[in-house]
Amino acid sequence: MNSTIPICEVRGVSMSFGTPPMEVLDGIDLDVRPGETLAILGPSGCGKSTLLRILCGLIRPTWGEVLANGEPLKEVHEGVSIVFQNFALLPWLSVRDNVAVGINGLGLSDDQADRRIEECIELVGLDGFERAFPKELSGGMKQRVGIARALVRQPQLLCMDEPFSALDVFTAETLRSEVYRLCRAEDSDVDTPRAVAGLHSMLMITHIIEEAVFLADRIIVMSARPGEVECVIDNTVPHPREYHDPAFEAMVRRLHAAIVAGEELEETDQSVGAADGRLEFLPDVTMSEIIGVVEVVHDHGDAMDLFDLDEETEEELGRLLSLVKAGEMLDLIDTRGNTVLVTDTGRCLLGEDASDRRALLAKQLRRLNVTHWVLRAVEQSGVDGCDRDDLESSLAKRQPAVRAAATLRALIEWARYAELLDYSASDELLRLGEAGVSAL
Amino acid sequence: MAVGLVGAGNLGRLSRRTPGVGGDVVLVGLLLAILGVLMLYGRQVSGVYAREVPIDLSIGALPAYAALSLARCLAAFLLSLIFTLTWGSIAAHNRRAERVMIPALDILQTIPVLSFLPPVTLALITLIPGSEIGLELAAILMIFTGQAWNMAFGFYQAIRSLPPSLYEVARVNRFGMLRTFFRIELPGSTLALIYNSMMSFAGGWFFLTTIEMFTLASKDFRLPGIGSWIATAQQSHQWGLVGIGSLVLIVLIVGTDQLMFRPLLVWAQRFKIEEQEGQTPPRSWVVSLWRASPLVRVLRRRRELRRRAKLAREAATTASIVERMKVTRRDRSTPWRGGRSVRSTVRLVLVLVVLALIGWGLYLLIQTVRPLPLVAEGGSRGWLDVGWGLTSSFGRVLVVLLIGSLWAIPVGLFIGRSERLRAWLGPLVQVVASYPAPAYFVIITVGLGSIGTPFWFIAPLLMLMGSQWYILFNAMGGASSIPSDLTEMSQTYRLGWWARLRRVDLPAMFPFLVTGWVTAAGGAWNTTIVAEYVQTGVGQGDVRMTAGIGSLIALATDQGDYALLAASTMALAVFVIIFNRLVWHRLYDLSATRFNLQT
Repeated sequence: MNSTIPICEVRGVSMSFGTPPMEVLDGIDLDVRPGETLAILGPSGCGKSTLLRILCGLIRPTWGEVLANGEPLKEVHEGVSIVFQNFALLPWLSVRDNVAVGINGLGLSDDQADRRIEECIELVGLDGFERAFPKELSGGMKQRVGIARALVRQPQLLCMDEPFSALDVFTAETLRSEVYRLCRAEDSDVDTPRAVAGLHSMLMITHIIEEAVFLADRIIVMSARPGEVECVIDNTVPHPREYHDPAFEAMVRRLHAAIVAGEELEETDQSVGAADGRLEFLPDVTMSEIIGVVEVVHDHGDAMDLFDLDEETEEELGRLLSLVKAGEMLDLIDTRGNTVLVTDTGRCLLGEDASDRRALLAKQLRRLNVTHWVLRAVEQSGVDGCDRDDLESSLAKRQPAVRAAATLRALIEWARYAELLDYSASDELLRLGEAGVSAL
Repeated sequence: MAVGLVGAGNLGRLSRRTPGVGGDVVLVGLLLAILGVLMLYGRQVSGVYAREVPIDLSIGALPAYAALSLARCLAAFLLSLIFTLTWGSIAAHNRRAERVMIPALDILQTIPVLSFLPPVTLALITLIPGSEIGLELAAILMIFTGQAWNMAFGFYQAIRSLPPSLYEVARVNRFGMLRTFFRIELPGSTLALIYNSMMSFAGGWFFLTTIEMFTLASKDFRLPGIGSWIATAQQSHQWGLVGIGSLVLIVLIVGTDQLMFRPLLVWAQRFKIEEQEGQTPPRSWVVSLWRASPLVRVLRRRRELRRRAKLAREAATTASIVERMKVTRRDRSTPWRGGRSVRSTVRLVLVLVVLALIGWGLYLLIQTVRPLPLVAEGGSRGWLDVGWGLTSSFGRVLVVLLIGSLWAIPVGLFIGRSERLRAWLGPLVQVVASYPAPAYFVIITVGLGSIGTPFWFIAPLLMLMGSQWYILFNAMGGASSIPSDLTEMSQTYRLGWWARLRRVDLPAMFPFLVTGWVTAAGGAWNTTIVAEYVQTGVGQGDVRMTAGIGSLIALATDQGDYALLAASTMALAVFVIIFNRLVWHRLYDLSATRFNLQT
């Protein structure tokens, strides 16, 4: 096998679901090279799990080319195995039989198969549990079974779909370092766990920056709605990796910056209340969250570094950026470089009581073109109320469909909070709210 | 997928709430005692019971017959609903009562209702002589017994699975019992109640038509209705009319579902307690039509205008929040509970009365059965015939389950896996499953008989027709509930079709399959009475029958052989209950433990 041919490769892959088609991936180019550990890092909803399934051949993309070892991929990729987020164990089989599922169809003799199963069970630290059933095991132990099942077929590529996110913090940390030990290539030493497992390449999906830096050789940063490759970063942090190593922290900051830059890049193509009446995209967050961010920054003296804010709130960075952006659009928050500031309006908001707060938010919301557009549409549909689906499809004529859905969802939530709109979820009808009636 | 979902939900609790053998014996005793009392009245029907029901086969009479059938179904459903609300809430609140009431439901659910049709009918005819009311009551009672247990069980479970915090809210706010029921329990269980009602109501059609067309060679138990209309048309070989009648029946089945239950279901979505992602809410064209109707729009418009005017007024006066949220509170004193000794005396008396009644009923039953000889003499039949009949019917039930599983599981798996196929075929299978197959037994018997097919071959075929849909339905539900990561896992690890079926699909579907088998077996037992004994024409001699417990019951009713009737009904009930305990309950336990995906 030529070692330069990628194990998996996608070229110009796009994917959309449903009617009207909702684009989740747009023009993705990506390859997984032999011997490397690749991480795909992105916020939830950026389609990274979908991308993984396309690479493995589990689903076909709507558009684009998928190659496996240089050949077009027709069905499921022969050399991959997957570790699933929620384990995907068979509760009616014992640990050993669950692991044996992985060895299925390799044409090994019984002896060889038995030996390999034993090796893998030992490798992940499950010896003594062979006869146990999954329901007797803790989450961490279950995922060990998942890993053993994936390793037992000596895959060309081991795919891990957010493998630690269903586990508690401590268990996740333990497993993470074990996987690190497992995937580290240590020269040509035949006794390393990696050699025992016959592991070539690894692909992992994650939304945690530190996890990617800890494990991967190369990190692909994705942005959401629709999912796009933002940038590809070579992870130069030397082994063995430690979280508090300066090189490690520098790499984490670099990824932070890359994600922020990606978000800012999008932001430049929209300005709030543009004179040409362009309708703004709203990030899909709730009003309580936005106010919460304003409160946190306010408590830290009205100015806070973005990364400190991330640490403080323990929020996923992508989502935090959406919240900050939403605060900016409502003029509650201002950002200068990486510093988040509370505006005068923001400070004013925090001092108000509930009904004045609503009035102020209603005022801030009316700064947006999209608010005006929606209020007018609802007003025009008169006392019958305005059908949400109709509104969404006419908004989708002026925005990409993915954006329109998120924008409308956010706007309805915000406008209900400010009593601009009244929404009945049972018949999906929008009407003007108290503040909305007086606003028009 | 209502059947599947509800079925799988039943599993855990059912097996945990099973009492010991002692409780079973008492319950079975009670049941047999009821049979005994029925026989007391039934025996008084003279052997020459003769009653002519002219069925008007003109098209013009059809709407009236359809309306009569619908009225019976609705009456029985109303009765079931009342029973459900009382039985279910008592069982959910009273620990002591629960221990008897829930296993009782379980036993009642397993008994083939139609085997009780002849004794109940005979008893009610004697009890209310000289009118149709006895027959009507028997029909409604039979439909009720086909609907009520399942509904009560679903309602009880829904109440029991309400979040405890809701009860805490009720207690903190000093809700009384009625207020708790109407504000919390009824809304909280409305969805489950509607799902179960849909199933039960659909099942009601099966019973209704079978009862309406029930005839024996010398006895005519028919009731004017759509079922008897179709059956009479068949017996007089007017095939065109059979087609028209079937069409009307489909309209009735689909119509009640679409016009009554779908809108209810859409409306009841507001009572959903927890949101589950990825599930599309049910839709109903009736509701959409209603929302779009000009009249409704006018009403809504007026409401909206009033609301706006009120908003404007309020904006002017700025009503304070506190004023808007005036809370009225009612204190309730704790109800009188009576002295400990008084209560225990009352209980003792009650137990004694019940035991006495059971004893009396059993005595009546023994009196009825005693003349039955062990071995048949001359033209009559004996206990050995009952045993042989039971064995051959049981064999037929097993064959039906086997054949049904062989085709319905693969097909169900195929349909259930594809979301598009499921959306298309799901409602269709639902209609077919609730469509009363016995309405066509005559056609099939005559048709297959004319090309020389022996009746011992036709009988299991008829049973299969009525019961295989339950297996298909549940297999579809099971297949659609296989978690997607298990499917992806079997694809990436390249399991072959056999390994995949054996290791992943079948075990994952197992809880649903058990429900399917139990319902299919119940359906097959129920059908024995109409499948093993078919009246093919109007004449006395136009009867096809084969050895079986169903044909024995039919024959005994026809000949007025009450010893045989009581013995057969009793044997069937006891056999089914024991089988349920020994086989189905073990499988239920397995699906709740080993094959439970919720771990």
